[in-house]
Amino acid sequence: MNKLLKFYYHLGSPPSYYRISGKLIPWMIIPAVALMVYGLIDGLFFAPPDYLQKDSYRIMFVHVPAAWMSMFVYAIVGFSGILAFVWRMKVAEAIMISSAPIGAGFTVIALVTGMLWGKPMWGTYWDWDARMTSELILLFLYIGVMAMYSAYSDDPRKAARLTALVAIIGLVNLPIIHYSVTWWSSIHQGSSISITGGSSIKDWDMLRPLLVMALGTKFYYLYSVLARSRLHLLETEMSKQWVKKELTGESQ
Amino acid sequence: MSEILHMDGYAFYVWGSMACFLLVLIVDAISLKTKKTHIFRKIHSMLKRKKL
Repeated sequence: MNKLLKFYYHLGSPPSYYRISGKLIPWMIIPAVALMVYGLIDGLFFAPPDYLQKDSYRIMFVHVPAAWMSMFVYAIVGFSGILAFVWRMKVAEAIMISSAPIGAGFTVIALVTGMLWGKPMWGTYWDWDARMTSELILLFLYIGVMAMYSAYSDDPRKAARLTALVAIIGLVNLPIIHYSVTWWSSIHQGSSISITGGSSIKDWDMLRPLLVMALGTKFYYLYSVLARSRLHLLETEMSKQWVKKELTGESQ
Repeated sequence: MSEILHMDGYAFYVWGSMACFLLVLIVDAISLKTKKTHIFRKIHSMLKRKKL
């Protein structure tokens, strides 16, 4: 068996995951804070103003990374939902449940900052436009995932199975959000950056803080999901011997 | 400095967005810390009960 496959099986076991993730957490939070502080300072004070939108475009440095994260995190929720539903992996359940509040947070940021950007540019805070509406549906999906788990929290395994089902069904919304500006006429602009199409932002001084913020938010998500999933495993496995072993050597 | 804060007349929108971003991350970090304290207390009290 190759090393990668062995590592994957190792990660699937709650005690191993708990130990490995505990070691990784500091390596996530330090770059997250450093990158976000650098990205915000660079974007707010050093990036040149846009010729058309002037300084209002600086909202992009939080809006775009948050919008990317809202979709990225839901993809993780859905994928771990599949693993949890099909193979009943406890670690996948933990990642699915733990990702939902973080993703919901990024979706709230994307919606609120989008409204604050929309008012000076479009003259309105909100429009029932395809992109905005599908992003709002994404927030409801996150709330649905969290609510479903809470509703059956006295039986965590059953709760996780039902939550996984909701998470998997919600995956259909991701391509809708992504292609909403192409499929329907929208006041929202198209993608500024895409993996296949490159970037429409040609000025490196504008692009740099955006990419740094995107990386910073990724690291923050990894920090938060690792910390939350460890707590989830502790809570759901608290009667197990490994939890007792781990906690006798761990201070609060 | 005041020019930077003024953001060419878009101060409310730009700084409001930054505040929203930071607020959500701070709330996330605080909720994580609260959850950790709660779960650790719960487990420690369970372990104490088992010892008794």
